[in-house]
Amino acid sequence: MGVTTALRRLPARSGSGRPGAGLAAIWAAGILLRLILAPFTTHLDLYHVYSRAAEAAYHGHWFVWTSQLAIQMLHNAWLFLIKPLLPGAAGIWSPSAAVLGLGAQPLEFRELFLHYPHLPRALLLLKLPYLVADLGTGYLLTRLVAPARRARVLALWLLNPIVLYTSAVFGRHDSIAVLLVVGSLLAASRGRRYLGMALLGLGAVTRFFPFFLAPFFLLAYRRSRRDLAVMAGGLAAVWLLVEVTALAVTGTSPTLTLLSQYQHVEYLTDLALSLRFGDQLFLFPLAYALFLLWYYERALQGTEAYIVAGAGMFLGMFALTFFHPPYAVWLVPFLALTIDRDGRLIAFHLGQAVLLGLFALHWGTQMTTDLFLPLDPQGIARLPDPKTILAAQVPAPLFLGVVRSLFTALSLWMAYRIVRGGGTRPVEKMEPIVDREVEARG
Amino acid sequence: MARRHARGPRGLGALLIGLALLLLPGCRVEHLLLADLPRVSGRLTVGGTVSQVFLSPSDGLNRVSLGVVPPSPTKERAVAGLTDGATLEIQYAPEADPGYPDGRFHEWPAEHAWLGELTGRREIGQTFVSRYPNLNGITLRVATFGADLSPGEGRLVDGPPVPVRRLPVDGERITELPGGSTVRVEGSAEGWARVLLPDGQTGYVELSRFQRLPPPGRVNDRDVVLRLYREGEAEPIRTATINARAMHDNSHVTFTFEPLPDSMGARYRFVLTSPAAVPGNAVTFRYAEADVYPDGTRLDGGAPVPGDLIFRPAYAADPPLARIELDRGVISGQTSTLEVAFAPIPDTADRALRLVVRAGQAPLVVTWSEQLPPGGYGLVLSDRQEPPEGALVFNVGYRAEVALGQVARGVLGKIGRDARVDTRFFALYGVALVGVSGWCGLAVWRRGRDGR
Repeated sequence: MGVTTALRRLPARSGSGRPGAGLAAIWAAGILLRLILAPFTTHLDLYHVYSRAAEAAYHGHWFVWTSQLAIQMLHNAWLFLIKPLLPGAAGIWSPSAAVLGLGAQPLEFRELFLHYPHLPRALLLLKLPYLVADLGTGYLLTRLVAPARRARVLALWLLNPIVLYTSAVFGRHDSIAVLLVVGSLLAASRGRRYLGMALLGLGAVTRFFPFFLAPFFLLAYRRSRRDLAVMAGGLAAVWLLVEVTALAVTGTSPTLTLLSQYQHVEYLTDLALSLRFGDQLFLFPLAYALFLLWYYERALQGTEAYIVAGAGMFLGMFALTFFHPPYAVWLVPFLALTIDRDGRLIAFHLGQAVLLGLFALHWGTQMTTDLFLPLDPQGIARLPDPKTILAAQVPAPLFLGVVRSLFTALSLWMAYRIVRGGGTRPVEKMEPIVDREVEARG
Repeated sequence: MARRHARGPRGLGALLIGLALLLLPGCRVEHLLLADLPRVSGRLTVGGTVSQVFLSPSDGLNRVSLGVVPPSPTKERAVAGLTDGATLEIQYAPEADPGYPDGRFHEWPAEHAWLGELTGRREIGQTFVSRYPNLNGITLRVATFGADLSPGEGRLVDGPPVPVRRLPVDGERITELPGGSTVRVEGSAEGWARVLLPDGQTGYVELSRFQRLPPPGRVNDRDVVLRLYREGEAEPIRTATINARAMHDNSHVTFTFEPLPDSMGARYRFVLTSPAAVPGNAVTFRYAEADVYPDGTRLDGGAPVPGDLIFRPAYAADPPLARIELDRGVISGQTSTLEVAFAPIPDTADRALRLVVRAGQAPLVVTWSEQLPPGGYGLVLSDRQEPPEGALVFNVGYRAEVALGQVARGVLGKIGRDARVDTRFFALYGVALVGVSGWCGLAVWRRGRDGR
């Protein structure tokens, strides 16, 4: 059963009339939710990245943090721009945020940042790039599908609890890289493959997740072997540019710093089978390589194949690796484009969101009640840790292990359903709706 | 149909209001001290008692899980065989409460300083909140300007070798000096002489282990008087006097008085004077210039001044908050812990508590972990056994009221304060919220009108 066949179970849209009212309601609700949440919630991560940016904005040290140079520079520039709108904010940042292995301290976060008299204003302004990126991604997603699907795709992104949690509540910058990836997808789907590649490259230097999409992108949009080589070279050039710039300015390689000093890299290899003499079989790299080989062998091309591959790859990644709940935002854009007309898959995705909410308990107050500290630092801090409430009912490791297992099962099953439907059809039958739409517009 | 539509939102509204009324006054929540039991590092055989201090985050302590080595699966017979009459007590541990300015015994932070001689009409003092019952003293840090000894040669008592510790009172034993030997004395702390060892190290020897000490730098022999008042009252409720001769240089001194059984949560002030003291015959007390104790204020001449005295209230021994026979416990096969439950104990929030496990007829085998509980305290064994560097494997549970109404009031109050401070932002924010809500409402209305 093809994915589009499955999707046809649901009516594309009911009734007649303008599609504008439904879309407008989703836009307005998405903006309203973000406006309500953003000024009163945050996580220490936001303070980390902006404390490092304060080194640039307030002290002129623009290259003090090089391991995520692109995204850091964006924050540096943004804080520099909004500095005049944050009166008396020079002293609220952590001086140790740019010290590798130390970072901004929770005490500084509580004593300096949370007691800033203009905290709601600061939080809204600091999160504004993420909120704009969310809206931008929503808009681009609607451009990728036929008008009949837009409302549902937009709702799946803009009103998605995972997306709201990540950008509006938590204050993670992943939304910006997501925007670049979706921008890359739109550009490629409209025939502007090199622009798409450049945007994907930029996304990959912003966050490491898009890096895993790159091989699928190249295979999906190649026209010949030479073309494949040129595009791969282009991506490598983007990486090299960032690498050489950072090396020239700071003397350290962002890639090597990332590989040798970042715990996040280990997340990808945590799930392993032990063989003899310390030999190990890492499950995610194994599954990824198998999926990529399958994709290559099937010679799948075009936008729809790429979307299916992206959805499957991210589902597999989050099923088989350790991750922090806000990273799950990467699941959403490709899923929004694949599950919007399959009620069962939407229900599965809602199940994922619920399980992620429970999985957040793994980090105790850090990813749950502490996010609301700006509302009342003393009062919220006195609330019992939700994880200890859970542990009073059932052993926490047992419960969280079951939650995690169910999440993995759901994700792998969704990946199977999506890939089985969308990835096995011959190339010539896969006609990306957008490509057709563009042609129709002339 | 339209009627049903109208009833739906109304019913939902009523449900929400009902739920809010139910939840806002407070809801009872069961939770634990630790979400995960600490990883076991080893076993410990307890013949006498083992105690463990921890900081309790909540009221309503009502159960304890203690790491044990179960002899067989969860049979009551096995529990009785394991515990054999052992008991578990829960006590207050005010001496470990980190909420008072006097921190760890051996720490003398450089940012603290001496006030200068307490002489004549000078009055110094401090207001404070007693967080425990049975207040019976105030401990302060005192200096006597070398009234114990001055630097020079000292001679140890004849007889067996004299132990030398790295720190006074309870420091690690680092060596022994032969009885009757002469040793270089450099100063004193806590009633112990700081001596220079042949290898260049310094250590501490009790003053009483010397037959001869270098003469003191001065003699202090005037009374120091501490008066305790209920805050806002003019008449003292307790008075304690110590002659300066009984005080040691660079040491802790406790002014002890009759216990006050109702001292839990009460506000007091204490005032120190030494009317007969004169310059050269007086002591001084330690203080911090910064506000290190938010619940009270330092006083000088009766007036509030910045900073705080370095002090800690002392308490008379109290009956335990709970005493449980461990034979009543149930062994958890999943966690290898012995679990006992009892009626919730009030007033355990933000206080230091001590678990005391007392062995019964036979020694009790418990487990310990390198992971320390909140507060960072290690376990302590009776019968002079050297404890392992760790804490008991244990957890405690609470049944506590979470005052959601109070939280809601706090949140609204904070937003109100923020709005008063940043009126321009909140005005714009309000306009944006109203505008987007209007847009949202209009879009939903249009969608409804179009029948979708």
